Amino acid sequence: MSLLRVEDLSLWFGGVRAVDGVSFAVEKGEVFTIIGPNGAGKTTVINVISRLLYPRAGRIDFDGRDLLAAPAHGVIARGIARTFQNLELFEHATVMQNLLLGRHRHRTTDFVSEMLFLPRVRAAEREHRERVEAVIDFLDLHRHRDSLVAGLPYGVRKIVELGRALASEPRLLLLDEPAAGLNPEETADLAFWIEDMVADLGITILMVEHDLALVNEVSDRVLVMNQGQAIARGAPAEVQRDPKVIEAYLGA
Amino acid sequence: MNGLAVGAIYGLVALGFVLIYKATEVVNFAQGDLLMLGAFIAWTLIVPLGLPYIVAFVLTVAAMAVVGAALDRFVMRPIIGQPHFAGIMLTIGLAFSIRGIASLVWGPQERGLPTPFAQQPRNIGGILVQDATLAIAGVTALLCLLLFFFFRRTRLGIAMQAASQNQLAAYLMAIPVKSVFTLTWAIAAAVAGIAGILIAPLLAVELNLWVIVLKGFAAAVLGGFGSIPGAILGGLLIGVAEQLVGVYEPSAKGITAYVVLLAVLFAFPRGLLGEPLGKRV
Amino acid sequence: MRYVFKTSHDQDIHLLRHNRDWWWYAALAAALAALPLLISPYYVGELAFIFVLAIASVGLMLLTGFTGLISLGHGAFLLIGAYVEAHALGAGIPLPLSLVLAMLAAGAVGVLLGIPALRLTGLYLAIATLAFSEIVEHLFSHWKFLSAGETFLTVPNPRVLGVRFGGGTGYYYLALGLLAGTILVCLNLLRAPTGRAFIALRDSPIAAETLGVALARTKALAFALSAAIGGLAGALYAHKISTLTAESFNVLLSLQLLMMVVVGGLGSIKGAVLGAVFLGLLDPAIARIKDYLPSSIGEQSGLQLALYGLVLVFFVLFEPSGLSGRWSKIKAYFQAFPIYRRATFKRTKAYMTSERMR
Repeated sequence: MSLLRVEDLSLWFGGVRAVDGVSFAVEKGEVFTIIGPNGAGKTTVINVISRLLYPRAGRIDFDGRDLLAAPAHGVIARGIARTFQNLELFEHATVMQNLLLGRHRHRTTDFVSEMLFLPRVRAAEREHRERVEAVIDFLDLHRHRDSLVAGLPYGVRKIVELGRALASEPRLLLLDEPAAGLNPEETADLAFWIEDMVADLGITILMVEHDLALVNEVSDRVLVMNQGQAIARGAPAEVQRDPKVIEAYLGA
Repeated sequence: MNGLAVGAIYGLVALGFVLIYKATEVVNFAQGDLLMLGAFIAWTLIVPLGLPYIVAFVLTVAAMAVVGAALDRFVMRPIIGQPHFAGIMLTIGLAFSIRGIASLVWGPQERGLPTPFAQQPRNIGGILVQDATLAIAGVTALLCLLLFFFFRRTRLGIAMQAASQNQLAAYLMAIPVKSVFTLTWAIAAAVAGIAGILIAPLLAVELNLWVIVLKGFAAAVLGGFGSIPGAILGGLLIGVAEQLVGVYEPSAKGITAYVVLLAVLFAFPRGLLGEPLGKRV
Repeated sequence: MRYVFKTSHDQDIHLLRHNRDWWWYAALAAALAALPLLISPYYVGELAFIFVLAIASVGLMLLTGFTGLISLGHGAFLLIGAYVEAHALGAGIPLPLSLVLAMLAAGAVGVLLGIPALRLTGLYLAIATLAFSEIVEHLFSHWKFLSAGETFLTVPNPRVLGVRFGGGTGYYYLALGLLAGTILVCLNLLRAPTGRAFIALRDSPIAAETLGVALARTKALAFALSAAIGGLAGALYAHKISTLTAESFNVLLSLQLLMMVVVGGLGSIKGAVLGAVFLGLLDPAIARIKDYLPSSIGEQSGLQLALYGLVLVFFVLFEPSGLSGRWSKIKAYFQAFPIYRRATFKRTKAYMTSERMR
């Protein structure tokens, strides 16, 4: 059974069909990438999966359960975390606080015991910080641990957002244009991290990306979207040879 | 009729907010104090200096435009680009400052502003209407028409709209965004000044005139916060609503506007003619 | 900078970054405890009043500084707390319990405001809170039931542990103790998931949701806590002014609280206290200045308003991180001396794109 199954998804913004009858399935342990020209509806698909938007029609099953029944803040409890195209970091907090917020779904304490800072709150805090350390090690964020996010360079901020998503220990990670704005070195690091996440952490990845070199390097399967519709799918190399795809990118 | 007149004033106050908000995304809490300042300036021109009403009217509007422009240029400009909260606190600070300085200059006593309008209402089609009400309605309508044409038809107006929607893009298109803001403040202050003069037949010229800012909020919210015609419409509706409530339950008249405001915000925050809010991620 | 060499998570969890700071705070506590023995009762009362203001300020800071919800009508919660305290004491309920009741009442109303306010953002929420507080003030001055049939309500002056209350040293220590408790509770929240959820709500509600923060519940909680703290402050305030009218809790009070939060520095508990101290000292200072000015300028309420306005404008324009921010910068200067760079704290230029869709 596929980890994520999207069937006939449709979403309209007014008269614009942002997503039009899109179907695909993501298998456990694979890297599945959605590519396509701008405005194809790729980010919209991600936004629907993370339940920030409600579709007009269609079905999404995660791990056999209907995902559309979950509220926006319940998606992460199911095991799905995400990053954002334009970065949605907590600017006036430190990197550490951002990462700790990634642990929010694993919270075991209530606000009353937190107000009194009972011993079990302290123990829980230590536990959360231990887990976050693992993420910091993985992404090499040691230097920036206590820095305020607002002052950090763009590349580092992207990594922090990735770390925040990882801290929640997801099963499926949605990455929205993770390589956008990164230089070649940073993109190479990203490719390594994606491979490591799949191999070592057992995470399945669904990503939207424009950088075709990266797509070719890490993806197992690719879905091409154009103007809201899925026009091709398969292995990266064969999809890029498909005449419909070439036409979509170069324009008719 | 009185409700409509008061409502038109509320609408003018709301209009000033909406202008500034549309352009700069700052809510100007000092709008009521600008109205008060306009009223005081007009009083000073008419009573101690003895100028004719029309002359005082024009001079007040001009003076208020200068004040508005100066406030933007020297106080509001430095915080361009900062989050909304800074703007709110700054305009609250301005509101206090204007009120405090006005109190020091003019003192706390109430004053009446003499107007050329007849005290006796005239009979129009069987309804008794005050001259003052006609003047308020007329000026408000004229102002709306002028602003409509300005924003829709002139280059400057369209440039102002552009600056309000995306500052960076407007800069890149060689629109002098900062000057646009200053102009917006000048217009909004002038509108406040006009409202301040027009309010004279209805209320005395005194320090507490600033409270009208709260009614202006209610009007702007009811009409839809980004909408200029909405502001006027909202004002009129609130003015009428207040008058009706005053008839049935006089003690509740004062909070009618606030109840309406909360009801609108909770039930349909877009207001009557407003725009959808949202953020693209 | 003083560098902290970390060897355990506990150092991060701990309330203070440097152990040496304990000595400073202990010294401060000792000084404040000894003060009533050294200065005249008038000043003790004034200082107690500042503590009460600080409690309200901390409550508002939690809501506005940390959760990012702008409340222009916080005075309403103080109003509710004050009236409940007066009624409770009048009904014979002992003092500690009356304070709890005041907090619960204010907190409940806070939740009531928090729930519908969920869908409102920034500016709209601010305006809604303003309208709300106007309505509350109106209700309390017109509903006979709430004001017990009087135009003003007198606050009973009970004995606590054998000590007469109102305005004396008992009041001072109670206010100080409650302030310390409030600060501790808030600091605890802020180093735990709830506090982080508040900050997440402030900085990016969208991201917060995708991380599992239930926006509705969190906003309601922020309102409830902040309102309850305001209620506590209001209940204490009631004893200071001893006759209550709804007008004493009008918009001006709400805006004064907001000033404390801004002047102190948003996002800092220390700032809340500093802001309250600043404002608490400003009023008497204005009263003093008045005596030296010619009578035309010395007319007090205008002077007070003008100075408030100028202070607020000054801080927003020149000291956006408030007194606590300035304090941090001064400390950084001395610690980095002589290699301090002013550009350390310079912010980058920002362009704002509209949050509107059209």
